[in-house]
Amino acid sequence: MYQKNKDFIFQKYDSDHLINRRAALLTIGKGSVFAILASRLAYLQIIENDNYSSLSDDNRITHRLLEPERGFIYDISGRSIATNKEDYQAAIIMEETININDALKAFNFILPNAKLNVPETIKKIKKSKKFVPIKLIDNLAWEEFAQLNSNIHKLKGIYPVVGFRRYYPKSESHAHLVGYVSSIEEKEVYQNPFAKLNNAKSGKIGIERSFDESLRGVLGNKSIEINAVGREIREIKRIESKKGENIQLTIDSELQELCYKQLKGVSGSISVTNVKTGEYLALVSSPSYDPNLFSTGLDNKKWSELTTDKFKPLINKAISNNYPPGSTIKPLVAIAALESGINPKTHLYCNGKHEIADTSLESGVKVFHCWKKEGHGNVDMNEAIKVSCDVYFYQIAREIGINKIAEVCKRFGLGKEVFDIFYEEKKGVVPDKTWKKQNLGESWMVGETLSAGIGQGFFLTSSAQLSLALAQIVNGGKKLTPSIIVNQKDHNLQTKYDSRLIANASHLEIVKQSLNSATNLSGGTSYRSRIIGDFKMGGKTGTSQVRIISQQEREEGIIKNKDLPWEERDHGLFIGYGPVDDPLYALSIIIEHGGSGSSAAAPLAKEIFEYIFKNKMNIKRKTLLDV
Amino acid sequence: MYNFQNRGSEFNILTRIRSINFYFLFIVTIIFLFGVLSLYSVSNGDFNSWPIKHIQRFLIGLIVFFTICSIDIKFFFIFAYPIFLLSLIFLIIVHFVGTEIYGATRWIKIAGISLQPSEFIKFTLVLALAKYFHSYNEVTNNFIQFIKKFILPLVIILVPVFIVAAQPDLGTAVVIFIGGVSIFWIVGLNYKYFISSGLIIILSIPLLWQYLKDYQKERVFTFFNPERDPLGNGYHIMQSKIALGSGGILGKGYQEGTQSHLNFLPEMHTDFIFTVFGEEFGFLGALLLIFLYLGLIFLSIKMGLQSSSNFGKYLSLGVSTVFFIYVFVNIAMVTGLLPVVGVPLPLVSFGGSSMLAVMMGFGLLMNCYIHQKTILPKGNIF
Repeated sequence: MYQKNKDFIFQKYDSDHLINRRAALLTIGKGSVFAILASRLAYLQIIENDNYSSLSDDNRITHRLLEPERGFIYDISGRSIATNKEDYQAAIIMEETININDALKAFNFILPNAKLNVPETIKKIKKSKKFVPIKLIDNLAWEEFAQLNSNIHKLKGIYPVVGFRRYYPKSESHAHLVGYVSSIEEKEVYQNPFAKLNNAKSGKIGIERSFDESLRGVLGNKSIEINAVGREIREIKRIESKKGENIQLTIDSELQELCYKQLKGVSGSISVTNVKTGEYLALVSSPSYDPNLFSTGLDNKKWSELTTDKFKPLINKAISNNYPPGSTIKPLVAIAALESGINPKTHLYCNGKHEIADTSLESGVKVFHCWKKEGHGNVDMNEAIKVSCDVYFYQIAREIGINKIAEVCKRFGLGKEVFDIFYEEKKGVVPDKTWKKQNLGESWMVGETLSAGIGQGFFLTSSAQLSLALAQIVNGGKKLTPSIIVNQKDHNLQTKYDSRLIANASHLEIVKQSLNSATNLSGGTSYRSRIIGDFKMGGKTGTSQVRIISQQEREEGIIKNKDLPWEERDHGLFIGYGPVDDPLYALSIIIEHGGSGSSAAAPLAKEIFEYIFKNKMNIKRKTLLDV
Repeated sequence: MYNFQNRGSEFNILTRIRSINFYFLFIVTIIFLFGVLSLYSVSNGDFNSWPIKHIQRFLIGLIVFFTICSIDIKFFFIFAYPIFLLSLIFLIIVHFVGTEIYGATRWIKIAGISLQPSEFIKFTLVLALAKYFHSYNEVTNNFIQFIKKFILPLVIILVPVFIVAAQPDLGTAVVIFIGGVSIFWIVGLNYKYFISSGLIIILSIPLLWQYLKDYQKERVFTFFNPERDPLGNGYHIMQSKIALGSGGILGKGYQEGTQSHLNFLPEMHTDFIFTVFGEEFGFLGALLLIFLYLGLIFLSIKMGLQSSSNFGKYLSLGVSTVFFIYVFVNIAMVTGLLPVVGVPLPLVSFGGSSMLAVMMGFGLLMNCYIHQKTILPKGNIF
C-alpha cells in the first residue's frame, strides 16, 4: 500500500504512479477534445451541409476591378506631351482552343514577327484558369493586327484585343521632365491599389511619378455572378472607373524641343524661366531616352545600356545633377558686395593673380590665379563682370566674407529645391561656415571664401536654380514662386510674384547693366554670341573647373581642355536673359565637360533667344477646358 | 558535476538512429504529405510555389530531427537552461531587429532565413521546465515550500508569454502558456490549484480586456457573432464555415473546392489550410486527418511514459501537449469554435518556423524514447 505522504500539494501516490495517472487523464482529455472537434465537423459538414451548400452558391458573386484611363499631360498651349495610345494585342482562351499547341503554332505562322515562344507560353497559360483570356502579345503594328483579324477564323480560341498604353509623342525631348510609367514594383504593392490589376503600371519618375495618384484616376468595379468554376454569367452592378486628371505643364513644348536640339551631341541641361511668373518654359536634359520604351516593356540589354552609359541619359541634369556655378555666381557676389557697402565705381587692380598668406605651404603664400594670366589691370564692378575678372571677385569676396555671399545666394534660391514636387531633385550646396563645420567638421579657411567668390570650391548648383536666380535679378528683385504645373485657377495671369522685393532695385540695376555689357559690349565674355536686332540678350558665362591645376602644371603650361579626357574637362555654363530692355525670360545652360562657357554654352543661348524673340514673345495659353 | 549511471552511453549514432520509433515517423510523414497535397491544390497546381518549398522545409526539419536524435540525452539535460535562454534571447531581440509584417514584429532574419523565435520557445520552455521538475526534489509540506517550488517555473513561463503577447501575437502566447502549465499538471500539482487559478483567470478577463489591441477585441466580438460584419472580420470565420460545410461527407473532390479556389478564403495556405482540405475531401477526409493527429499524440504519450527518468517523461508529455494544442487551436479556429488567432496546423500549414520547431520538438521526444533507459541525476536544479 502507498505510504501516507505528508506532501499536501501532491496526490498521495508515488511519483511514477502519479505521472501515469496524470498522463492517463491527459490522454482522456485530449481524446475528448478531439471528439469535440470531430463532432463539430460532423455538425458543419453533415447536419448543416445543405445550408452551407446553398450559402456556397450564393457566394458566387464576385468583384472585378475596372481600370481607368490615365490622365493626359499637356503643355502650356495645349499640345499633348503624354497620352494613351491604342495597343493592339492578341489573347488566348485556353478552353476554346482545340489544341493549344496547334493554335499557337498557327499564330506564329500568321504573325511570324511575333516570334512567340510556344513551350514558354503554354506553361504560362496552364497556370491560369482555362476560361480566362491570357495576353499572348502586345504592341502589334496595325498591319499585323489587321493580318490577325482577317485570319481569325483559322485561330480558334485566339482573339484580337485592343488595350491602351502610355504614349509620349514628344519622346526624347520631354523624357526627363515627364518621366515614364512601367509595371508596378513589389515595394509599391501595399500603397498602390492598382497593384491588384493584372499588368497595371505606375509612374516611376518625373511628373508621371510625382502626380501618379491624380493621373492614374479611380478604379471602378463590377459585381458579377459566376458559376461553380468561376465563369462569368452576368453582370450585376457596375461602378465605372474615373479617368485620371489631366495635367498641364508650364512648358512650351516647341521651345523645349528647340532647346533639346541645341544639346544634341553634348551632355548637359537647359532651363528657361519666365521672369514675371516663375514658370519654367523649358527644362531639358541631354542625352535622353525614349520613354515609350518603358510603356511597352524594356528589355534587359537596353536597360543596362541606359544605366551604364557614362553620359547618364536617365538623369534629369536640369534638377538632379549639381555643378559648381563658376563665374555665373559673380552677379550674386556683386549684389552681396553692394549690400555690404562696396562702391561699384572703386577700381581694384588685377595683375593676374591674388596671394594670401598660407603657413601650411612652403612658400608661405597661396596664389589664386585670374583666368587671364596677364591680368585685367584696373577694373571696377561693371568691368569685372563684363570681362569676368577673378581677382576683382577674390578681393571683394574676402572683404564681405563667405556668410554674406551665402546669405544672398540662398535668398535668390540657390541651395534648396526649386520645385517641391520632384522626388529626384537635388538641392545642391551653398557653403558657409556652419555648413562646413556640420558637414566636414572643419573650420572655414580664407582661401575657400576666395574660391566661393568665383563659384568654385564647395558650391553646387543646378541649372534650374541658376535660371531662377537670374530671373529674380533681372525682374528687379521680385520673389518668384517657381512652377512647372499650370494652376487651372489662375491660369491667365501674366505676372505672378510677391510684392516684396528680395534685393535693392538700384543694386540689381547695376548688376543688370554689367550683364548687358558682358554680352553686348566689345570685350565682354559673351560678346561673340550677342544678338543684333530689336531685342537683345544679356548674360554671363561661366567655366567651372573639375580638376585642380597644380603649380607645376601652371609653370609647364596649362593643358588645353580638348587634350584632356572628357571627364576632366571644364563644365561650360551660361546664364542669360532677354530682352534686355524689358526682360521676360531667363535661362541657364550647363554643358558638362564642354570647355569654356563662352564657347560651349553662350552660342546655344544665342540660338535659343533668337528663336524666342521671333516666336515666343507672346505665348498662346490654353486652359485644359479648351483642349 | 553529474554522476550519471550510464546505461545508454554505449550508444553510438547508428544505434541511436536504429532505435527510433519508425511508426511515429511514418505518421508524421503521412500528415506532411496531406499538407503537400493541400498546398498543391491551393496553388492551383503550381508545384513550384508552395509545395516544393514545403517539401524542402520538411527535409530540413528531418535533418534537424535526426541530428537531435543522434545526440546523447545528457547533452539536452545539461544544456536545457542555456538552450531555453538562447531562444529567449532571440525572442527579445526580435523586438529590436525583427521584421514587421501585418503590424506584428515576429520574424527575425538569420543567415537569410526568416525565423519566428516564438515558435521555438514553446518547445525550449518545456525542456527547461522538464529539467527543473526532474531536479527539484525537496518535499513541499507547506505553503511556503510550495511557493518555493512553483514560483520559479511560473516566472519562466510568464516571461516568454508576455513578450510574445506584446509582439502582439496573442494566439501563440496562449499556446506557450498552456504548454507550460501542462507540465504542472503532469508533475502532479493538485487539482484544486488548476480549478482555482482557472476561476481567477476567468474572473480577471474583464480586467485584461482593456490591454487588448483594437483588432484583437474586434476578433473576439466577431467570434461571438460572425454575422455582425460578414465582409470584414467575421468574413474569415463565415467563409471557412461555408467552405467546410459545403464540403459535405465526401467533399467536392481534389482541386475542386470552389470556396478556396475562388479566393473567398483568406490565408488559405497557412492558417486556413484545414478548411481547404475539409472542403475538398469532406468530413471523412477531415476525420482521417484528425485521427492521424490523435494517433500521433497517443503514440507520443505512450513513448514518453516508457522513459525511466522523470525528465524524459515530462519532456515527452510536454512536447506532445504543445503539439496537441497547436492542432486543437487551429482546427477549433477554422471551424468557428475559437476566435481567429493565427496558429498554424503543424506539418500541414505552409510556414518554415513552425515546421522546423515541430520537427525539433519531435526530435527531443524521440531522443527521450531512444534514451529511455538512461538514468539522470536528481537534486541539483541547476
